[in-house]
Amino acid sequence: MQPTLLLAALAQEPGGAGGAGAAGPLSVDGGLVIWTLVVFGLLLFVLRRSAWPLLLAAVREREKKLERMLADAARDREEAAALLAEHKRLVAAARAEAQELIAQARTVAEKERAALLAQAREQYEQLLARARKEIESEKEKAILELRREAVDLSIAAASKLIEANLDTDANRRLVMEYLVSLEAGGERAGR
Amino acid sequence: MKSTTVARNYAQALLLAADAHGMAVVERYGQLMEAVAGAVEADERIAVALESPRVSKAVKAALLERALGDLAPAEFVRFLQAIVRRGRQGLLREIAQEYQALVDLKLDRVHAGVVLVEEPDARLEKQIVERLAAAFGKDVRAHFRAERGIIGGVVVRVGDRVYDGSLKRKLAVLRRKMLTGE
Repeated sequence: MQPTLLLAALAQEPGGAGGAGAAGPLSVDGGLVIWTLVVFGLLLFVLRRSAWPLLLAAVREREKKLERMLADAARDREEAAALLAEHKRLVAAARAEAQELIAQARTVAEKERAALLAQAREQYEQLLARARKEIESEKEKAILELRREAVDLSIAAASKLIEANLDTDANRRLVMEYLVSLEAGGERAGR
Repeated sequence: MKSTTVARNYAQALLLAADAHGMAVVERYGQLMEAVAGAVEADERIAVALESPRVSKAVKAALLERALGDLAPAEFVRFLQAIVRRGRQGLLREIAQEYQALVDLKLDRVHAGVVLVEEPDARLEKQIVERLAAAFGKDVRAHFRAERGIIGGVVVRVGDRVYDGSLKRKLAVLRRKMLTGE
């Protein structure tokens, strides 16, 4: 408290260095310089004792915080990079898997298509063969029926003709010829 | 005992008795047995009289004696009376058949059913019998029958075998060949 009071007294003294009336902005007042230096020194001392450690601690704390933040940021960046790499790997794997699945699906679809085509072709061939067979069978049947009718008609006509023309003598010859063949062939003529 | 066996026993007894008098009697007894069996089958009254338990066996024997006395030898009548006495009058048909079979066996003879398109005359019958006898190597007794359906030719049945020489069969064979192209 003493330096402060001393400075105030000096400032109010009319016959002081400042009161010469010739003091200008460029004039040097020795006392004032000394006192200014003293006050500065005192202020420096006070600040060094009381404010400097606080400021230093705050600066150091801030430096540490910044370092932590930088470390965190670096770690986060590394993690992000790792995550990005993992993500890229997963995406690549998923893409590869998808490609494989698509290829497999394509192969399966191709096989299925081929199988269906083969099956359809086989069914078509079978149907065609069956239709041909049926047509052939119907044709054979019709021919056989026609032939049967023609033969039956011929046989009926022959039968009528024989009945009309076969007289007793001819029949007698027929009988005797058969009996002679029976005699020659033994029981082979039997049924 | 089965009726066939019983009938065969009676038939053998009759054949034994007939054989002692020669082949003519053997044949004659066969004809008589056929006639008696046919008469019993044809006239129901004879069958009823022979089967009825109310008619005594003595009366039945007397009836047979009266009916056949002039037609058949006494020995044959006695045979029939023995059949009736033993209650075997129901087997007359079977006895006649068995007797005929035994005679056929003894004479090495077969019966042939001959089917022709019309009834044969005596000459044709004789020729057919001769040919059949030559074919089978046995004496043949033919039983002729007419059937228009065979169209022509002849069908001979001996036992369970049929020898078909009819035009009907020939036409059937021809038809089959024409259909199958064999």
